[in-house]
Amino acid sequence: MKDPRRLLDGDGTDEQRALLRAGALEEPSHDGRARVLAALGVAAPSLAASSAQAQSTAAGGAAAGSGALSVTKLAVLALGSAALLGTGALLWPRGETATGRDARTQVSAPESAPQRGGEPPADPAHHVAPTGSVALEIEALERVRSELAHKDGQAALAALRRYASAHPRGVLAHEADVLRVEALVIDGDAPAALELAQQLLRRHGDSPHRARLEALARQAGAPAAQ
Amino acid sequence: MVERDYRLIWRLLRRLGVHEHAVDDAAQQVFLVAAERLTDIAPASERSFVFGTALRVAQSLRRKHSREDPSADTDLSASSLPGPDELSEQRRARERLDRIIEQLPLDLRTVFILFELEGLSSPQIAELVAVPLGTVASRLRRARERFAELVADERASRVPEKGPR
Repeated sequence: MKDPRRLLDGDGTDEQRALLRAGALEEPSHDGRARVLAALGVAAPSLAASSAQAQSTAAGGAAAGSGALSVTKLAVLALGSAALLGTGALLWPRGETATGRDARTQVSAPESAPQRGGEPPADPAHHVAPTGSVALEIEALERVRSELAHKDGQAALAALRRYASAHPRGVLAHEADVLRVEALVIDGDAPAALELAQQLLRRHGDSPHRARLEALARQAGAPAAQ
Repeated sequence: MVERDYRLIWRLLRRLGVHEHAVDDAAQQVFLVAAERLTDIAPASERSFVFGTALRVAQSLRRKHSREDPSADTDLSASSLPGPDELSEQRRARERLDRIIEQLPLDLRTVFILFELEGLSSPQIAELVAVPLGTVASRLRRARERFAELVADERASRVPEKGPR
């Protein structure tokens, strides 16, 4: 069965084409997609480019944006969390990208997922929980950041231990590791900071936090691993 | 999935009547739900699931929007009049399109949007909507007929406003 020509391609009247063209030209913003990736715990490359904006968000101590939905707040928190690392790129899970299987956002899903050809869930808009483990992880790392902002390396390390204990397979584990390097630097344990930074750079050469790690490694007193 | 389908889902939500200020949140909601259920979704039907979720989210938000702001539709209607300067021609056309296609029944509207605006083929739509190919064809045909009528009706309803009194 051959498809008819689309109205936009010439089968419609001028008026119809003009109307459809107006609809076809509307595009989502890049930020929207990045926010979804952030909420899912997947690093969005584009976010690295917007690090300055994200950083100002963190510096202000408040999440930017005013989305009405709790999931949006979660994403915004994620953006702020990334910004506190000083890179803007974020939520880079250890080992693999989190496509949702690892990013336990605890979005209350519909009762049953459809099998092939089945019905989609009923009214998911009413099933999104206000909090999730990613949000809790972000909160935990916010506490770390707060200690770092007060230049209290010991307290930051303690907060990181609590984070690791509460989220042994956290999707923000890599971010926590970067914060640990920073905490060690502040705590004056340069050898440990350098060793961890180099270890992370070797393990995650394409980390969005690479520049940050290299800077911390330099701060710890030696050139970063190549 | 997000990389592949975000644009389609976002645009679908918009044309299904989700307000431009709410559509980013709605799209996010769709993918968060999908992410949560990813392990339960039958292989190769992720897109279908996301699409179905988008339909539900759009319906839900439209209901919510109507409850919260009963005047919203009236306001939208009013924008068919010559708008303020900052309203571009493109924007007015888009609002007019939205007013027209929202009068299509949902099943026709969905097929119409996917075919005419998103450029999907009939087999792709059949898979996404989970209906036979023939159903897609008949829905598209009826949607086009109704769309043409609605465009004409809408134009006719605007003419007296511009005519001499």
